Amino acid sequence: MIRTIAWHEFWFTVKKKSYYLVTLGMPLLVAAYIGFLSIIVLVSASSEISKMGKPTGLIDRAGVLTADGGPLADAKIGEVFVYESEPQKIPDQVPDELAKMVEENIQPSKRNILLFSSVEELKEKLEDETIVTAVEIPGDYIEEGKFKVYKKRSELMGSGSGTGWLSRMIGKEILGRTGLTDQEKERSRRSAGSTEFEIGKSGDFEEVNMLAKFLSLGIPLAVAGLLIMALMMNASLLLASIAEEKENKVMEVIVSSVSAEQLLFGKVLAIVLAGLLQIAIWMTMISIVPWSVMMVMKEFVDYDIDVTQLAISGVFMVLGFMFYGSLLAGMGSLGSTYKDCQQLSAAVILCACLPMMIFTVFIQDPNALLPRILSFIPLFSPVGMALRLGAGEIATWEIGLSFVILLISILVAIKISARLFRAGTLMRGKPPGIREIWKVLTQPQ
Amino acid sequence: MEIELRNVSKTYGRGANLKVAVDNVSWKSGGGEIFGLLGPNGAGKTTMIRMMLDIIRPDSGEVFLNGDPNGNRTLEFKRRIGYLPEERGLYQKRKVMEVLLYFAALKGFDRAKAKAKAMEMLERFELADCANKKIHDLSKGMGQKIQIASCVLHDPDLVVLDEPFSGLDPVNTRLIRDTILELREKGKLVFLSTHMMSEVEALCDRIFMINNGKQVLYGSLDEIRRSYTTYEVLMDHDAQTNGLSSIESINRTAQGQCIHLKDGHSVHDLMAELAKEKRSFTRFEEARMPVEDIFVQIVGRSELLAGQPAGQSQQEANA
Repeated sequence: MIRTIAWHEFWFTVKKKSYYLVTLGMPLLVAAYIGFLSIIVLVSASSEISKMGKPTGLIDRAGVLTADGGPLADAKIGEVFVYESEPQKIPDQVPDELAKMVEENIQPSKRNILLFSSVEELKEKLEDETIVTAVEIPGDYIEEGKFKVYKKRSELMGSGSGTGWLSRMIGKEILGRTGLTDQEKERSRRSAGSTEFEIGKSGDFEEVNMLAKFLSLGIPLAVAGLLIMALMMNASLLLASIAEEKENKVMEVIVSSVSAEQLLFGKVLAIVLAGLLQIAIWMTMISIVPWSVMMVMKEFVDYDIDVTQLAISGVFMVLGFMFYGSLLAGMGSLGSTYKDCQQLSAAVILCACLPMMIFTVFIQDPNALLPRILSFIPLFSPVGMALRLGAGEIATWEIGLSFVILLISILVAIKISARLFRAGTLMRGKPPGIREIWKVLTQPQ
Repeated sequence: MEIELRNVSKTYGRGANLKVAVDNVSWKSGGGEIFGLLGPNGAGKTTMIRMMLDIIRPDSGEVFLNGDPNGNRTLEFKRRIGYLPEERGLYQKRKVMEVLLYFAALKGFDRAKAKAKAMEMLERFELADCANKKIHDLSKGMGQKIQIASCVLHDPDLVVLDEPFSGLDPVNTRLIRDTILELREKGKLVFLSTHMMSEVEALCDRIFMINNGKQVLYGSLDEIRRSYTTYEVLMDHDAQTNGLSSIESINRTAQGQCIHLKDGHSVHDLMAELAKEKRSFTRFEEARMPVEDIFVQIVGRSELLAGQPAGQSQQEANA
């Protein structure tokens, strides 16, 4: 008997269209996702590789490296100097065979260094991207132990100041001197600290405030996170409402009273309002603590909430809600039950989540090719644009273009979804096939 | 309001799965009449109704509303119709009044007026005490009446009722029948799709019959029944009918004598002969074929012909 029931249930399950759609579709979706991530990794890696070959700019005001007898004594201003570090001396205790093997296999590291005499010169080279990073060794380096690091744009998720090698190089150079003061001995043992500068809105170098940077990123991250959370919650409500009307057989009466577009737009508007209300309640309830922290931080950190950035993120969030809502309603109408609807909608939610999954790509360089492309694709732009806005300056035309594309996409999505809705809502028992969907989409209205 | 379907066709599927739901159908109907849509299950009635109401669009042909080929696509038209689909239901977890008001609002009906009218309808359907009950607490028959109420609440000009009597007891059937007749009296156009032939006979002015997507009957109910009458007269038991030249045979039943006339003789010939011979009788009624028999005859013949070559079947069915 159990065998009969098991066989019946098994056969009933695997025969369902949704079962083999998910079974066969999921590997394809995962493969597409992995492929997409690989492209992102490749693009990021190629960008990093292109940076690696570039020289590091250097101004040695303390003269610790460029003085006569120093490792960079032969370097000339404006010319790339290749510095090759000496291989480390292997201690005598190490057995000869092992020492030989280490000597043969460990190559001395090379550094391309471009010497500058002034900060203005290196700024020019940072702007035209001849160099990516530049370091100034100030005249008081021995006393203070701090470098000044210059970048075109500081990265929150970047690889740090990248001055460790320079610190070690200086330490080694000082150690080679005779008659060292106590302070010099101390400096040679310790790693140097650094203060980072980036080219600001005014075009001059401005000191980077990492905490303020983190806070400015926190808002769009929160906006994107809330959008995804509210979308996930409300998507299920929207699908439940469609499924309820289909299962209760109310839909036919409704579509005889209003057009499919009106019905769909009404439903999407409802989900947007419900979602916004939800977000407002969540923000009110959970923002008390972070808001208080930010207010306290404000005393110590020079940070103002960027209202424009917040408003633009909010607009993208509302539009995103409408876009995903229309897609969900269209896809939801193709399923005959709530379960079917949920499976069909998973792909839409995955697309909304994707920019969050790869948010480092957006944060590292919001104006890199990939984040820019993704912020023009309406499936990713609501979350993508919020992340880009938090990570840095975005050209106004890009925001405008992304906005217009998203707006047009909403209208197209509502139009297409309405057609699917018209076909899907009247189907019971089985969802329409690909050919049927195609017929509905291409039929003149 | 006048509705016309002109050469309308609709297919579903493709290739081997191609199903012609409605095949080149034409008819016209105007206000103040009850128009019966008849046909066996799967004949294409619902598809035809959906095209008429612009729920789906025809593959070819046009639907005219008062002569306008796009008239049924307007919101104005949608507000003027009341539709009770065959596959129907209500929001199970919502209250009766809430549902009625929502459907009335979709038709652009004023909320205050809708509330008053809803109460009036509920009282008429003996459901006044159910106004604040949830739909899932009602019986199937009660739910059916609520749906009919929602269908006519906003005083529509066109009412489409697909199987309105299913699931109703005789008392409620009569209640709905009276409601339909009232709508006709008010000059409304009522489409009635049903398998209950007694209701068709009692209510419909004209009928359209569809089978396998094709039009098989269209016209006034009286004319159709007359055209299917086989020259029979019903007379009382004691009527003196022996030896009359126009009579072919007499079949005596519990209701009286069923007289079959000879070919070439009409009811008038028999009446004239009875008068001439001074025969006494108390009942003389021209026998009309019941709609049910016409339905069974046409559908049965179509099914029978379905096994024959296509061309022949088409001609026969049209005949």
